[in-house]
Amino acid sequence: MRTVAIVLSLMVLPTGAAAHGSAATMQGFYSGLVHPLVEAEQALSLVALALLGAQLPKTAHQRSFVTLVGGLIAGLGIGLIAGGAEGSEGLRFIVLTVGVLAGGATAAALGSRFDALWVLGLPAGLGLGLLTAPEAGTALALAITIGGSLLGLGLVWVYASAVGAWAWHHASLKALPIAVRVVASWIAAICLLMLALAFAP
Amino acid sequence: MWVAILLTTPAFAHSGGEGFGGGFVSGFLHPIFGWDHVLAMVAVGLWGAFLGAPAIWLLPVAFPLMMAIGGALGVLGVPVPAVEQGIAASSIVLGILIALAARLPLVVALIIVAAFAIFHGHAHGTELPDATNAIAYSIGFVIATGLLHLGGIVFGLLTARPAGAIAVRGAGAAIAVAGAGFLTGYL
Repeated sequence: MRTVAIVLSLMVLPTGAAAHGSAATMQGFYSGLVHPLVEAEQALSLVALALLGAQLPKTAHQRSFVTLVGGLIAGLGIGLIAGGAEGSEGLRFIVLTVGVLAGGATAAALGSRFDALWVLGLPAGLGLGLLTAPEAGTALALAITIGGSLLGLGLVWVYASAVGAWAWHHASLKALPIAVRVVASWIAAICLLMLALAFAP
Repeated sequence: MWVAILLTTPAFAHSGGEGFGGGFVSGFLHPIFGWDHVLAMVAVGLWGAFLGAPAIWLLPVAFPLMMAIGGALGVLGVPVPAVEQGIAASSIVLGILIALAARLPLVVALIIVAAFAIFHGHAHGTELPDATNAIAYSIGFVIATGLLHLGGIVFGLLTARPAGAIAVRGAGAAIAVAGAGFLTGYL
């Protein structure tokens, strides 16, 4: 996991060597890359899911990543075909609900007891994919923007999951797993408040 | 590293309450400038430290979650009776429990803390929709609440020493008295 994180971060360090490239194309890439970071609900839900994944046994942890990526790709594909769904209240509800459930489960340390929690990756990935699906553009621009989105979402998940896994399974300081649970409770609390705000009369 | 990243705010040179930075600062300061909130948050950390593991971290984990439920009720306009009295009572009850060095069962401690968290959350939640940036506001006050718990825990670790235990119990008594002042309107 650490190697994957290092490789992914090295991939985003170089700037585009586009002697005759399109500034709009690279802008789409970076727009997709930072999208999960600038949208609070997406970032929080993703981090909560990653922290929960870190608590799961190894196989379930891997499944949570696979279902997240699978859901992302499916959501992006459906979003491209059916049209962008950014700002959809239903999708925000799904993403935030996953944030509450994943954060709450992590805070309660349920990940170490219930392997099946990896399934939360699927609705989260689907919702995130649909929310980040780019609007119409050339095939190349769409592909690059989607690539940026996948990379951005993947980076957030990998980093958060690596920190969570290290704190939960490998760190010698006993306070670290507790710190993860405290942070997860904060994330669940914030997601719950955002849910209430989104659907307040 | 992630906690540090999540805790950073945009570097707004002229943050005057607008945008994400302004909303975060407003939310962060809200529990800190409300002494009734501060005393109760610190008391939760104090009592948790006094009770020892696992209460020392379970109470600060349960509180934000229940506070968010209360906050959601406030945002949705669901009335909760006697919110201000409940907030004042939280200081009184928690302060007395600390002063008496009460070692209640974990489940009972969680129920008490959770019940009071609803009142605190509801008070924050009713102000959320009016905040400039409600999402940043909610992030700010949740983090501030957690840091206040941490402050209480750090102080509560003094109970490891005899003089420290007296200091902590004295602080509990002071919190209870202050709570009574809030309840009666003297403070």
